Amino acid sequence: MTALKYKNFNFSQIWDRLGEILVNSSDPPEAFRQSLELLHQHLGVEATALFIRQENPPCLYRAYEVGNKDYWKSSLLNMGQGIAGWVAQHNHPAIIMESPEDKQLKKLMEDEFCRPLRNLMVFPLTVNHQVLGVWEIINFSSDPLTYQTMLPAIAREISLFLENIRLRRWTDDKILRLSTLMDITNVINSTWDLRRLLNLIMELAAKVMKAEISSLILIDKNINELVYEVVIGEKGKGLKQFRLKMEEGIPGWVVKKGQPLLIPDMEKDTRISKHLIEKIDLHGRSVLCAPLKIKDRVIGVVEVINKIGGGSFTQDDLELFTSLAHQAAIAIENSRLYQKEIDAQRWEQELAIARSLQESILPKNFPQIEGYDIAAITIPAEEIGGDFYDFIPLGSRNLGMVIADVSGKSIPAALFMAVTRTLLRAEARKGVLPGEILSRVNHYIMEDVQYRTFVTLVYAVLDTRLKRLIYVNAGHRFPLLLRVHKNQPEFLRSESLALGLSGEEKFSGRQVHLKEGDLLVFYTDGVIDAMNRHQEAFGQERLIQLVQKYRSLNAQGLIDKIQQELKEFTQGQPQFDDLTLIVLKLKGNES
Amino acid sequence: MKIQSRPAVGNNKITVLDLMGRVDAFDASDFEKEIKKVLEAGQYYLILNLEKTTYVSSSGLSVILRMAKEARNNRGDLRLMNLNLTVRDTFEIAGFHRIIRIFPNEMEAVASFQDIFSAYDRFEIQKF
Repeated sequence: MTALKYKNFNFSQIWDRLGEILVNSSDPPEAFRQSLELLHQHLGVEATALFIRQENPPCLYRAYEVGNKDYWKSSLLNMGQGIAGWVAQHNHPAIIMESPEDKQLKKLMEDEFCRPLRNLMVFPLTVNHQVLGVWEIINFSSDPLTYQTMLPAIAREISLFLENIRLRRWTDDKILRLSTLMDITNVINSTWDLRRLLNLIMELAAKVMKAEISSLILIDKNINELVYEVVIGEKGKGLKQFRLKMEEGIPGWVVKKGQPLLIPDMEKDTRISKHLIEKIDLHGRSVLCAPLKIKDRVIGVVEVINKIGGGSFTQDDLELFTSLAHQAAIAIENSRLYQKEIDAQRWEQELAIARSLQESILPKNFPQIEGYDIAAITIPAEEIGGDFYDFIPLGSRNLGMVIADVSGKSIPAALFMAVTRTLLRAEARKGVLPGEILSRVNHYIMEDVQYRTFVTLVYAVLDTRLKRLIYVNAGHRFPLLLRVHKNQPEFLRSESLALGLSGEEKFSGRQVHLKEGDLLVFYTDGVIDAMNRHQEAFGQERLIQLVQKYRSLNAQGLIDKIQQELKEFTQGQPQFDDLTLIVLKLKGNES
Repeated sequence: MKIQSRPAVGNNKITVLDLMGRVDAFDASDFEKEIKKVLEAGQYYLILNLEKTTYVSSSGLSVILRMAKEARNNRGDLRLMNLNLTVRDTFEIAGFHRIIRIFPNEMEAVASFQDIFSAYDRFEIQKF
């Protein structure tokens, strides 16, 4: 069935069909199987297989194969074991035309195969110089060298698909780990429960003082009221969460004076709150109330009402109760300090996670393209924001470039950044125009309203052969373009909204043609908003002057220079925003 | 950063928030807290006065965005006035001037709320 359909495909048709399978796939295993089937039929080979690299320990797993399976021995190969293992280890393709004479090669063949082969072609599947797997093709019916030029391109296509799957998994995994972490901190917080501790203290107070009701009342600073936080005793039930005005009732008096109070007979005392009397049944009995003091600050009071079995509280009771109040105050203060400590620790943890997230998604290497000189840098601020840059290889001649600034900070920003980056990578691979790509990414972001944030970015696709740049600027600072032999910069402007603001936004690309000697500088807010001691910002003008002055430096040199100037300008003032730069130079014709 | 709220000149249904100083990443959460208080008090006709605001970071922008969403969800709106050049730049580059209305002074900002007060025009306010 499929065999007939594919039989007469030429290379561009097979290429199109492969792209279609991989791009539209929501089921990666099925996509791999279909791709191999397609290649098997079209290339006229006996068998073909895909090995995927596994970690811990590093090895190769033969995940998919199509055609005659009798040749392979095991489905697992160590790195360096067999031909596939050798290819993965050396990140170098292998072409074997006939049964080899070479002893070492012979050994490799025997490690992997149980029968001799006519011929064999093996390609490493790599992205950013990292081997993700190996593609193996066994026994071409015609001369394998006929396919020598087209197979590497197919290998690249499969590599990018593997990378996409890996990215998707990675994002899911990170999100899972973060939510687990949040759960754990919640548990820690709830075990150190101040309320439980205070309940214990007040139960003890009721027992020791032989009181019908014992209660702990705290000042609510936000609205200047007194709140019954803990109430022990059947008769006091109605008092829970009862509120008094700041100077109301007996607690109000004690808070104001900052000293304990003993009332042997409440009915003869005018200080008692009318509201309080309405709430509970308190016929002519006794009250003891003492302030909760931390240093000289009163944070609330403890109160016992009515001695069980009648009678009044005594002066001895007052002394005992005052020292109990002291204990309660210490417990409250400790718990607050402890809570602060936990918050600080959690903050540290959050920062560390956010930082590692940000670091792990930045490309480790800059693209090496003949005729171009490219460098980039991100320096995260103390309270990490969400800047990132990315380089996305798109086939052999196009390069996608991204600079982005996610609003917000810490984990939410870092997560949003990871999501945006993954979406961009996945969409960019589909080969549509940059404007369309951003429209799609924006659409996904808008669907996920819980983030309630936005990202400004520039996405540009450089056609390295035509020296043509198609870019979309979504609400980002305008990148600078310094033309060769010209001093005034052009700006890569755009009228598009930042991503995440409106689902109806249409993004459209603009195009510039570059010449040898042209210089492009992409940057984020952190560069021009950097402040010195006099609250003066670095500003766009200073950046432009700097770029003009040092345009003859290479890309990395220019970045170093800008970084150095920023350091001198800010003179140790804290960096409050992430700072990111990409510099792209077209070599030759230096001005 | 400092923020104060007061009734608008000429219409006390509208609340003006005078924002003073810088809103960078450090201040954004304080800024958000202050604004939440106003929203929680049920005030949804809001003008943010940026006359004495020297700088707004992208975190600050996202707080303004959330606040405008919240106001619009409650049939109100948030509008801006008195932006200096730097701050105006920040808003325009990110495209905010297309989703949040900006006025040169309090009189015009207050007058603009007429569209909300006359109920039929309400639908002209852009939904996020």
